[in-house]
Amino acid sequence: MLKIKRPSQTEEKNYSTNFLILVVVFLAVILFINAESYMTAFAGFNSWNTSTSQVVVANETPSVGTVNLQSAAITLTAGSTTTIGCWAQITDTNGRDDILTGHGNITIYDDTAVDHDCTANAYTCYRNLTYNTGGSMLNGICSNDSSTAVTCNFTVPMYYNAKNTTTWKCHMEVQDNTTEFAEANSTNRVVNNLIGINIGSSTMDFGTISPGAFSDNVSQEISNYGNVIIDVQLNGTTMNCDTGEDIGVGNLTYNVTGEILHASWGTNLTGSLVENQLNLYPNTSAVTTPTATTNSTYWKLFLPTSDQGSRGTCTGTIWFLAVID
Amino acid sequence: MCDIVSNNQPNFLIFIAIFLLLVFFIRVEPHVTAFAGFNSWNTTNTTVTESSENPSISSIAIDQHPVDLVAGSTRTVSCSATVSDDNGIADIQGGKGNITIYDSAVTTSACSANKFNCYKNTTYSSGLDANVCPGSGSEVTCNFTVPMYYNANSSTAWKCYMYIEDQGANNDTDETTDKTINDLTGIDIGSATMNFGTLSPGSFSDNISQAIYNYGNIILDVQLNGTNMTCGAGENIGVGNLTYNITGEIPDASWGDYNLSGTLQNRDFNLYPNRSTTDDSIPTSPTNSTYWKLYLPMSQAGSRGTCTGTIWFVGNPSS
Repeated sequence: MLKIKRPSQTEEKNYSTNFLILVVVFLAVILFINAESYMTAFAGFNSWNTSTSQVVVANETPSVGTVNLQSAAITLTAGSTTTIGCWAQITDTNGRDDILTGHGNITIYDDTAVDHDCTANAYTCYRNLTYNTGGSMLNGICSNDSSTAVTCNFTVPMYYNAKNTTTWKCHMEVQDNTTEFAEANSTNRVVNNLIGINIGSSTMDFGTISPGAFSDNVSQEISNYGNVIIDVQLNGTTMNCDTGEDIGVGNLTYNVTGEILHASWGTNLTGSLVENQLNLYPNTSAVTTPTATTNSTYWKLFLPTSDQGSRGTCTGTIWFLAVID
Repeated sequence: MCDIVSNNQPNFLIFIAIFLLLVFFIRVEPHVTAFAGFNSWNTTNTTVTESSENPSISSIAIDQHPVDLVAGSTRTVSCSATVSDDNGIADIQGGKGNITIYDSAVTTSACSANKFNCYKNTTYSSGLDANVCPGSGSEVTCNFTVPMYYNANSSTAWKCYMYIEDQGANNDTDETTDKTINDLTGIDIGSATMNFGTLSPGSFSDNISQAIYNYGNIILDVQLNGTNMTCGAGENIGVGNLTYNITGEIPDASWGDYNLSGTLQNRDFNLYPNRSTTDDSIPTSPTNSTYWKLYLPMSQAGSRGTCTGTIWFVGNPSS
């Protein structure tokens, strides 16, 4: 059975007292909170204050100035390379480091054959692939002009077989560190014709021949070390012998298309240059390091009889002169 | 003998009781007419008229000297005084009065309430009571507590004046000697961040205004300095590329009258405090604008991203 005990008068008094204390404390807390809020609202004042200055630096597009491809027509070197250059000033108002830590391409190309995205080859397309990867100071090809400008100069060995046209260009494109992009082309530049020739053997040894007999065929390879189709002009000298009668130049006979038949004459050499249709093309393949194209010529010597006795060893000179086909 | 005493004892007690009753009535109501009629005893009427005495103010004092105000906020200031009246505290508490804390250098105790030079207790004008002037016997203590605002005049001549008038229209006045409110240099600015937007290297930003508020009680100049702006990448921006005017906007693509530096430079800003005497509302702080531009120099260091720095505004008493 549940019994409810009525509180005594003392207990009731204590309850009332406690209740009053609770109310007073509650009111005090409310008052304190209000006062605190009021002070907080003024908390920003003092004899000093600070403001944060803030700016966002825009990512500006770089600009490529005038692109120069050499300063005159390009003259190549037969069988070798010629160093050519392409340069331009690149500016970026964000600072030159924005360029130098970016990316870019420099392409020297024949605009009639390919475009500036060509695959590098010695015939029509020279590219700065290193430049493609960017990096510090663009791997040494750029020099500082100012805090916001550099001049990048791409030098490249141009091979003898580079195409002989008037439409070579240099294209320069830049992507700065924030992927802002710019590009420019040079005007057309000429690559001059280059006639370049070489032969396979410095000595054509016809062996030991009996008077009144033809030698065997001796081949002489002709190589095109230029950038044009070539024919070949030939002449020679009389072969001087150790003793006895010399051998006239007309006893040297040749073919430019195939071997000379047994015991037969080809075209006889003379002391004057005679042009032969060799039609030897330059190397036009898409390779970065070219090899020369070649054609073979075939030679025989007829040793005429003589009444002056044994001649010993006889020597002379044959001239191979390339001309544009 | 014992019997006699014993028989008279009730009368004695009755006599004592009546005596005490009379004393009680006389004390409570002096003008009550005594019992009429005849008896073995009688009474005579006693009358008295109490004079209306003047109240007397003493020990008037302000609780602080000097008073140091709080920038942009209030300082609680109290003025208290003891008031006595021989007619008893009811004569005071049923009366009226006023207490005025004022700057005697620029106004009088009859001033109209305002936050610059005159703080008045309007409660007293409508009557005193035990809440505003508690006490006992013939003496009360009246206490006027007031939030004094930051723009209260910087002066050495502040006084507390008290006027008390009791129920009998008797009055007294008193006031303190001169008290001092110290100079208060208080400043605030309009924007915690001055955002110059997005800038291209080699160009100026648009004008950015920055308001300066006087939250004190003196004429202010402002001292300025700042830090270099530190960028997310690349080269930081030197503090000298922040340029400002204190009189108006900076023309297009131009430097301001002053370039910020790393050391404090004083500028004659002459920003007055709020000295309004025409209203008693919470004071607003006077303000002047400054105008800022940022020149973003070119750099070799590449893109900088977001750059931030700090500009200091230090209030300085105007010379």
